[in-house]
Amino acid sequence: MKKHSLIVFLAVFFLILFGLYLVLSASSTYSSVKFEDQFQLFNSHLLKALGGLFFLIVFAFIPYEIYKSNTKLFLVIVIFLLIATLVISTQVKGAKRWLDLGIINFQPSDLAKIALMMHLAYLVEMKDELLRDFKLGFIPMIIWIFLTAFLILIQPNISSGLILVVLSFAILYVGGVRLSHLFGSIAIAGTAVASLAMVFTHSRGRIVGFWEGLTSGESANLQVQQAIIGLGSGGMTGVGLGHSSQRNLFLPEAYGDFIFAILGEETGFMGAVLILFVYLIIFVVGLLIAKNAKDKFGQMLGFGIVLSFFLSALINASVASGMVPTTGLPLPFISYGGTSMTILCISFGILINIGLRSQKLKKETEQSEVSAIQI
Amino acid sequence: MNNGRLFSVVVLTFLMFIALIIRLFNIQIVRGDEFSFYAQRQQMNVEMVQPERGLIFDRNDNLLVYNRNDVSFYVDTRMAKKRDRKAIAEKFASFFNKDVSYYENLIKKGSKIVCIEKKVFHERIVELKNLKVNGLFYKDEPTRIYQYENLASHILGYVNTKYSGVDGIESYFDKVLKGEEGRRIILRDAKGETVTINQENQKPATSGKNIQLTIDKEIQAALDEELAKGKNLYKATSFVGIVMDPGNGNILALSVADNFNPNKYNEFSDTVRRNQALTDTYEPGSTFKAVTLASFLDKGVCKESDRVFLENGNYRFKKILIKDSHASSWMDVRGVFSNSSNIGMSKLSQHIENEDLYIYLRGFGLGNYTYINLPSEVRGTLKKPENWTEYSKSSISYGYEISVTPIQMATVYSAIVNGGILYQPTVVKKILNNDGSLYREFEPKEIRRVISEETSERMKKLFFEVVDKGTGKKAKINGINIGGKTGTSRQIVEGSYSREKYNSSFIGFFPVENPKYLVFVLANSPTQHAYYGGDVAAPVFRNISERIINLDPKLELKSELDHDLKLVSVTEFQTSLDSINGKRHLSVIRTKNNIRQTNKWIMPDLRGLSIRDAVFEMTKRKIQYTLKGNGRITEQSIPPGTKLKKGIVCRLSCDQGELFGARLY
Repeated sequence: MKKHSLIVFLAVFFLILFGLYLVLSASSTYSSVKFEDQFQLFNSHLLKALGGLFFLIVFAFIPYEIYKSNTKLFLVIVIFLLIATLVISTQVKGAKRWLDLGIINFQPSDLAKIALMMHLAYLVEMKDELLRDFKLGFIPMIIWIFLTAFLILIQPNISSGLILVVLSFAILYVGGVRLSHLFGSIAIAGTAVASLAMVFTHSRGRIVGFWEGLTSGESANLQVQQAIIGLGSGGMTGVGLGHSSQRNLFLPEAYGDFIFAILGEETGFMGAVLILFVYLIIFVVGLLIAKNAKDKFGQMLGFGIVLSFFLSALINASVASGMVPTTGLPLPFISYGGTSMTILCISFGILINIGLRSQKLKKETEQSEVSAIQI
Repeated sequence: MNNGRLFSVVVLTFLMFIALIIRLFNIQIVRGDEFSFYAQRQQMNVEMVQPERGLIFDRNDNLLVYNRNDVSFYVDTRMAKKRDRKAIAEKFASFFNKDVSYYENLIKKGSKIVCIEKKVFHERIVELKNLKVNGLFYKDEPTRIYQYENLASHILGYVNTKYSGVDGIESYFDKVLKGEEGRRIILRDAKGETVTINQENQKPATSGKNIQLTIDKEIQAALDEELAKGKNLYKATSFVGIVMDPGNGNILALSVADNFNPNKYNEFSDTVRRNQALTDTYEPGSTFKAVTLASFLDKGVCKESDRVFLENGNYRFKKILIKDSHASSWMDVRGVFSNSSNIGMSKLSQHIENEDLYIYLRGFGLGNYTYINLPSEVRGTLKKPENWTEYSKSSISYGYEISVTPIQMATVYSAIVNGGILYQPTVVKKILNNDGSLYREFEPKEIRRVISEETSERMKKLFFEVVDKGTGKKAKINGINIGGKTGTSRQIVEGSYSREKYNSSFIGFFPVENPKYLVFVLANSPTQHAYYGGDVAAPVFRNISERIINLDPKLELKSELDHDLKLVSVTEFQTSLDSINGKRHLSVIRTKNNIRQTNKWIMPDLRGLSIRDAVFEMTKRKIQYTLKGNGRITEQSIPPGTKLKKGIVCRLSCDQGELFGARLY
């Protein structure tokens, strides 16, 4: 429906604008200390936001059906990129996540998410009744999921890997696979992932730290502690736009994964909840678009896109409030960061297109019905 | 699409959403105040603002002590990475002409924060202040500047590294000079750097109050120099000198040779830094005869014309032998005093009761503090009459069995010659608020009348005779009547009186008719040329007094000597004498005395000043200047009295030799 697509577009546009402001505020101190120019990070974010909007509009006009025939190829390319990342990329904070392609430097795991979701959506539509068959329906999908997730998990990037698995299983679940198949593999995968998570010091530290924080009553993680202080000092209405103090290097990477804390500090409980409701609106309207999609591919893909988006927002805010261990998930459309912004915009372009196509298709069918009657 | 399954997923996400809202409510609303407290605690920083320490002036508003705004550079080694350290080292090396490795080692050795350049004169380093490298920062650290270095060092004292006064005025008036710390609340970032300054809750620092001393810079300089010369000539351990206004107890100069440089106080030993005029006692010997004789005269136990048999130099008093250095038979009291006869004084003392003498001695403040406004004064010893032996009164009469400090002797002599009133000595004239208004004035403080005015007059005549024809002849200055008394006492070394170590002193005053200056000179263990007070201390007294006379145009000279040119032309700045009308002109060469401190924003008259003094006046007013030639200032491009504007440049021309028509020799 055209109306749904418009709502999503406007809400996303609002989030991007608000994100621009928030990145400016949150990064100003860091930029001026590090680069002696308080607009350094903001300028870079502005470029990425403009680029993102461009992609969003372009993809909104590309009929999404054309991806159907290419999802497998796309996923295979992404898997090669993931392997390349493991082989050639340099370590940043103990993990190999970034792929430097000369001109662009990005995290292929973000790309993997959309690629895998597309292919799963394609498989759900194609297998149709076969989906309930273990050997012919379930196994091929689970292989793709585990292969992709594994390559991300061993970067190591536990949180992205996990969310990928969760998203994929959600698509399979809503797509209609047998519950026995699903829960069986969840049990197996869960054990595997949990043990893998504990193997890497990087993620073990985070989990152990979070657990210690929960049991001892105070967070062992400085970043989370500072985020909570930021949120808490915001109170009901906040310290005022542009008046954050936590951005003054108290909260590391205040402009990135922890920007929600600055949001909460500057705008208070009211502002934080308002933004969360914008996310909720996009989620609900996005689900309506997915439900009304003209084919199963569109439904599954749209569902995957909005769920991924909303989970990312929820988990990001939960991390900043100290509810879950630190993950690398951004606050969608707001956090500083090029890869996530671009991929998100592309996926929302696709989502909007799904919404637009369903309407056009309905009209076409209506017209054909009318003409049939006339004949 | 399976609607039931979709619904369950949606329900799950809604639950997460609600949990998140509840969590936010808890953090932001329920515990909001708590977290605000934590936030403020880490973001706000109360910083104390250091007040400017008060300035010290001499009695003629010459600035003696001020603060220079220096800057120290530090490196936080935890923040400076290898690249940063290299950048810092290179920049500082080229700026201060030191090795790059010097700075690198300095930073390497430091644990947390290292000071790499201490107290750099701040005008030099604008460039360095703008250098932005991780871990490099600077702090304003003022330096206390003692403008004239060693001048009056024992009065001024010095400040330690924490800017607290340690000795002298700096210590005694530390609280007054220090001012009050201000407070401001600073919003900082996690690195501790200032982000903004909270305008509320600010309390500005109150600058310390300024102190005007009773010291006269020129007299002090004369005293410092003459004592140093004397110390050198007679190879004495030390020399102590005090110049005092006997009429009000104002100390005009006080000096100990050797003195020290308060700017570099740590290069001098404690002994040198000690103000011996207050902290060291000695047995005064013959100078004390003035005190006892004044008591005898005032009590009426003898008069000037009384004749005394002096036993031809050897007098067995009970079981001890008293000797005179110049043996005589009969003499009147005048002769006893001017020839400084111990036998005579001993005999005269037999006529006064122990208690009566004690009352006079206490009356003069002996055995007690003078309460001068300088630290670490001691009070000497004066035994109570019940502890006196049968010899005590006799010994005291010629200055033994009693110990005094130089400041006590100067104070007591002032009382004897000023009409009989004991004043509390002071080195401070006024304390001024920072805006120049008066905070406290130190009026002359009378302690008590000790002897009658008449006794004082009689004593002055006796003192004059000492200089005129007695032991103090070497103190004589033509053109002015001088009075005084010599003293030579043996020092006690390891419990008995030494035959090699003497305290040689002379205490004199002038003009005798109306004493305006009292000069105390004490030589500790002179080893060359002479040891008698009349031979060691009296010439030094004369040199000092001559210079004082030349500095004071108002001093009345004896009228019959007005035309005697050569006797007055002593100092190098001495100029012409007007022999026609009999009045002496003071030097046309002006010293800084003439420039009043009153207005910092008015161009001073610099003509006639030395370059050093002129430059000082200019820097004080922050005037930029160019200099041409050398010698003394002859022209200034900004006329005196002009209101000063920022950035104004004054061209000064200097010339040696001729000046206002007067020739310099």
